[in-house]
Amino acid sequence: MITAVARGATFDVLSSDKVESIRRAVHDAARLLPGQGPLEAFVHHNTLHAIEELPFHEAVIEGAALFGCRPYMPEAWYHDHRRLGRIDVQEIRAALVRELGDDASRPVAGFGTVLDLRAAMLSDEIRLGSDAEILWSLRNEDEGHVGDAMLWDVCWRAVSRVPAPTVERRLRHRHRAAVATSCGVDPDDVVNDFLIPFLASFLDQGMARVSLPERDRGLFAAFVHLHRGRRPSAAAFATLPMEIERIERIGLSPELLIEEGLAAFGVPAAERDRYVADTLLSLRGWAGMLECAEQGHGPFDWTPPEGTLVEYLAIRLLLDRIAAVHLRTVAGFEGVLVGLADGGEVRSSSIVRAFTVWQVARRLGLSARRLGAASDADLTALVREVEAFPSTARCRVLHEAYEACFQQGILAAVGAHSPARTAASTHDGRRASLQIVCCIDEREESFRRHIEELAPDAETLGFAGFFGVAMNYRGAGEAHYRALCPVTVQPKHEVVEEPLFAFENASRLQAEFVGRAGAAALRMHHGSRSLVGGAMSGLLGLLATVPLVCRVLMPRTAARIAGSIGRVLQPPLTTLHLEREGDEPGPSGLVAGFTPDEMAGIVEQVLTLMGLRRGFARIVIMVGHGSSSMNNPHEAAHDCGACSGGRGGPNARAFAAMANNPRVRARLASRGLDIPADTIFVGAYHNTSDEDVVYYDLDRIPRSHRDEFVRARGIVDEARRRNAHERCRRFDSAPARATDRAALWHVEARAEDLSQVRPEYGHATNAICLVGRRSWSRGLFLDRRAFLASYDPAVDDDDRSVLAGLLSAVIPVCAGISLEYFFSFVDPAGYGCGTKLPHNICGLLGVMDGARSDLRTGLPWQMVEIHEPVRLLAIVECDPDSLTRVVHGNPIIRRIVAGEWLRMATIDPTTGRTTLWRGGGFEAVDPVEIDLPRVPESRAWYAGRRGHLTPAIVDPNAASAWTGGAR
Amino acid sequence: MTFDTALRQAAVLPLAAPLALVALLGVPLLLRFRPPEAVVLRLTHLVVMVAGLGAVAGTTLAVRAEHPSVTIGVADLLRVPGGGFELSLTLLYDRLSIPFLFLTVLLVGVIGAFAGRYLHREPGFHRFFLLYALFLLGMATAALAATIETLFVGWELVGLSSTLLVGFFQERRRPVDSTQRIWCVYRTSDAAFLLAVLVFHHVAPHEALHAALGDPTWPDAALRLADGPAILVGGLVLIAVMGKSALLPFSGWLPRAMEGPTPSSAVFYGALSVHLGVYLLLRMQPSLAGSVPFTVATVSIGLLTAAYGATASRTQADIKGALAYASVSQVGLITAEIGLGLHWLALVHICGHAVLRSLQLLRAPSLLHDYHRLGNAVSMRSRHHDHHGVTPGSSMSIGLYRIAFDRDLPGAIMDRIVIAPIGRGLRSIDRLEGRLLGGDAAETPSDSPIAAVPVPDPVGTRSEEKHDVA
Repeated sequence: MITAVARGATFDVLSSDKVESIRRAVHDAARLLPGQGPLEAFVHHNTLHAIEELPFHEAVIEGAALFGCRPYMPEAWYHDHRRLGRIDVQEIRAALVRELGDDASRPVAGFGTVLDLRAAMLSDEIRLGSDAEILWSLRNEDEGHVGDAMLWDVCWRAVSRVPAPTVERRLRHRHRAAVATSCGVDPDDVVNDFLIPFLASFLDQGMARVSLPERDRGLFAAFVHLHRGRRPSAAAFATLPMEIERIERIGLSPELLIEEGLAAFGVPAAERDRYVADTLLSLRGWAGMLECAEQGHGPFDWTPPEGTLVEYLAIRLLLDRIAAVHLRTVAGFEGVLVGLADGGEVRSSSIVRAFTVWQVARRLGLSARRLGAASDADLTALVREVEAFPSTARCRVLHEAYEACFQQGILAAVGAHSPARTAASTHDGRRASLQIVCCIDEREESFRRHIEELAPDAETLGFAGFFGVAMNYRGAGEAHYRALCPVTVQPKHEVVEEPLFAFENASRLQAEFVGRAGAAALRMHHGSRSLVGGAMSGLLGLLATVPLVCRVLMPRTAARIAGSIGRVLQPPLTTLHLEREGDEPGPSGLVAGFTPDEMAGIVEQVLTLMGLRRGFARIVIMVGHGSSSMNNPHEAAHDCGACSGGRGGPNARAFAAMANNPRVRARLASRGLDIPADTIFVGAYHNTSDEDVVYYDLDRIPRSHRDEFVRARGIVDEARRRNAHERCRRFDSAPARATDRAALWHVEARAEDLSQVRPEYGHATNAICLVGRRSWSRGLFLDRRAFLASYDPAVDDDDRSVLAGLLSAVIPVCAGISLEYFFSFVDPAGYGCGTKLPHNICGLLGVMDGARSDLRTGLPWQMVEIHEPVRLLAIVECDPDSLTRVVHGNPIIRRIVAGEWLRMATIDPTTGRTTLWRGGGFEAVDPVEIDLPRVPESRAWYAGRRGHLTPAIVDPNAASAWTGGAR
Repeated sequence: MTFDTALRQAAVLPLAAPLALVALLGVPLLLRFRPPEAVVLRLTHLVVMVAGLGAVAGTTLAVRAEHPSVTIGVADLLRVPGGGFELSLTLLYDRLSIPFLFLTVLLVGVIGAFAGRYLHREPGFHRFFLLYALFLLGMATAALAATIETLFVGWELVGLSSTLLVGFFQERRRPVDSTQRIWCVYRTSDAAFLLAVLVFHHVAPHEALHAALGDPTWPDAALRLADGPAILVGGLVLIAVMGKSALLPFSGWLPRAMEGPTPSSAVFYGALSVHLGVYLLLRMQPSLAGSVPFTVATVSIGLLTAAYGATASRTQADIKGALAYASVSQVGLITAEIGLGLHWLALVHICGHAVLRSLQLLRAPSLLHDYHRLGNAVSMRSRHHDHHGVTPGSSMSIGLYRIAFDRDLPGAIMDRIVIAPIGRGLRSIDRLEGRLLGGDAAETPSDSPIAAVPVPDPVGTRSEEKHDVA
């Protein structure tokens, strides 16, 4: 209350302009914070989303500077891949030529052209290191090479004549660098250690039984309340109660405190925004979560009041100041606070510079004599030219070459495969025996491929896994609604799963029982940590030996037993409350259910976007997907990206129910979309972790279709066994040669294993997105790397409006996934959240490393370790001109494509020729003749190999080279 | 009698097998050779199995013996003529050590299987299993120790391996920091232990010490110390126990220890090493029970710790911290039970608590999953659509909350009342020495605990150092 009164008074002190400018600075800086909300729902997004308006290569440099991360892989990594044959030397040169343009042939003071110089610098790793390392290696490795020693002298002298280029000069380190250098203690560590438990308790969503006092009044009020009149145990903040007392006495508002803090460190006016951003970024995981909670982005139970981030900045600056003063008096750092803000310049040492020039000179074959004879001006030119191509620039070229090699391989494979594809589209051929619609997710690529291998007369299609049904969904036995649709879509309808009316009473009893059991379990959960409850459970604790031993030693069996108990308690048969019955909104505040017109609209739109307006099979199975795993805080990151990190089963079920609805069929027929009366849709759910597939509403399958359904289910069962087998090749801990059945057991056990940190590899290795007819890729082994979206140019109009609609959902989702994996792989500890092993769930929000750390965002190393850092290659079946129009017609797609956050390519619907987006438009790609390997089935290609695989044609008629293995 | 001889030999296996494992895992690492993961795991499982069989053999012997207990002399290392001192490796299977040994083998075995998968492809895999072998060796030695020397060896090995596991991620600052603090607490406790042994030697004949530690009739005591010596010895033993079992005022180290990989948090400091202190107390208490002040001190420290741990646990927002404090509170309660002479209750409590806490810590990464499920279940009855179905608990007065919330409080108190005076004392001695010898006294470092923080890279912009995974 004191604060409230005081705050009113402070506005005389700080003009409203100033207040506004501080708020704006915080608001602007907030967009740099990670946008990842609570882990319970994981939505993949571009890690560098905040600077997505920049082109890719500029953004990675900027991001590296902002967040202190790596822009690319280390130079040595690229050269390792060059030696492995994954980067072609020709391609490095080509990338250089592309980047240099006309500059390539410019001579460098008689030492060759710029191109030669840079090519030499890229021919192998340029070694760098500390001065001592370099001098040591010079002395030891090159002993006896008198010429080299002379060369070193020349280089050294040449370098000393040229002023060192400034690597950076910014405020980035705030006062941190100066203090840390002066006294050896990082002031941020002191502040963070103090602040983290407070932020954790403030944001806690229900972990602690006692929540932070006064937190409903906001961060600042709670902080003041907690520290009023009592010295905290951390010695650095002994003066905090005095500061609190002063704040309350004068009535300092957070804004004024910020003003004071900035002044104390002598931040110049022009640098204020920068300083504010850097201060927020110094604990960016927690600050980002504060921002998410304040904005309500994500499933929060408790959200802080408005202005939280401003209050956080005020507290942070206050603590920064107290810690700096403390370090000055205690740890021997000298100097005044004002002026500390300047982070100073960073320059490379002369030894590092000379060593670089020395290596280049040796590669160019320049002798000491030759260089010694050159004029000073020439030597200076050489040094300047070498230093104009620093490590980051070299990595950029190497990265371009690495990606180009991969992209060419894929484009050539798709091109070479095209003659093999069936000329006749299945739509005008005979009717397919079965159609299976999966999510575009690249994990379904192998699943679809195996189905097609097993049933050559079946057809598979891909559509974003929410199947057009954007809804707020609550399952039977679930506590809350969640949106099942892409993040970009705001659901307008809600759908509830209910027990069948006939079972309602039984279900109520069950619900009662489950509820009681759940409440008891929850009491036990909390109670075991309390004093008396803990003593009781401690005494009975020996009973826990059974689950402990079983869960760890035989996870699969233990899970089966637990599962069968759980099944008894689940509601028996359920149905979706899908049809709208009135206009009154449901419990979540949205319209309950869809009208037949809305359903018909959804069904028509989805079928049209997939290009499926004709040629329906008798059974069409819609397969949504998700993933379940144990002991995995990042479980939701394996779920369907098109369902905002939810599980897409209900969407498939809802779509099937809509498409089966006779009133919907009638409306569709009147719009020229004739679904044959004997076509039925079945919803299903594919668990990508344990390869389980469940079907919905089987009781509604007519007798006439049962045999066919049983056959289809048999094919799917075989496909999931094979899929499990193919996935196992990537798991080091799976046996190299297992039977299909053993492989399925293996993945089932993985999903239930408490000790398994890699239940599945998720989207790792994703690299391609194909938008077009399946015939382009059918029979092509793409190694679970390709998002496959079905699209038929034949059903599109001249404006490509169908394609535009499709891409508006596909491109952002796929690019988000691809870029999140990219950055988490490039810098696992900076952009990713490091190794899972010490992760500690905090506040039900996210994970920390161990007992106390920043909230870690991004993906854990165990999820991305097999990823290959390439930008997504999106190949669209369309002519370049139309696609250019589509790209320019959608600002989001334009930003992603023009910024080259993904590489866009086209494949011509008739000729099969490919083009690639480069620097503002599509350029034709020279067709490369390659002879793709032919194998009779997928297994023959991957068997016994764990690493990267190039595409191959899977053709049942090919001679079998494969002999081993068992079905 | 050959059967008994065989059993006697087999009963040494719980020590011999882990010792062999330490050698088998450690020697190749010294030679810079890393055997494949599968080999390490096979060996580990085999060793745990063999140790388990050895435990069964020892138990069989004990059951066939008169008291249900048996003493096995392994080696006489040193004997001072005249009976003044002897150093021997002697094992005791009795009603106290058998349950504790089985608990150790069970938990360590399960964790071995768990960690084999959890740490798959982790760069520190071999280091982890080496420390794991050391830990098993230490626990088995301490559990079976019949002489003070044997117990001390085990006690030290457990301390060493536990602290190194806390600092497993040695490339980050905080784990290393915590390791250092925990090491200091452990050393304090070791010093108290050694002093207790020394005092014991002075106040009682050497055999008495054996009788106190390796009394086959436990929980009856063949020897009860007189009141005076009992206070002195008991006080020192209590300090040792307080350090090892994270009782007040040392409680701060346990939550800090949650820095290593989850399985080591679960079993090593979460369930086993934290009980090693109370195990010693349980072992010694019958000899010391005659002293009322000792009993009062034990019970009150136990109850205080229990209250503190339970209160602190309620305010923790992270799962591992909450579980660590919950462990503190139960260990406090166990201490009080021992003080009251409820030996059997305490023993059951130790075993049950260790197993339960291990399971809870191992499942800690499932917290979101579990809360989601429980929240769903609860909502089915109440239709209370709170997100997690979890309503916040009771409130707490701000004064109490501050004490419960401030994790560094016990550590800071120690800094203030113990470390700072010692530091000041040492510095004044240093100054005195400087004056006496005429030279300049060394520049006095500060007494602030943060001054011990390792020097960070001044240009490193990252708040968290990298975990190098490449």
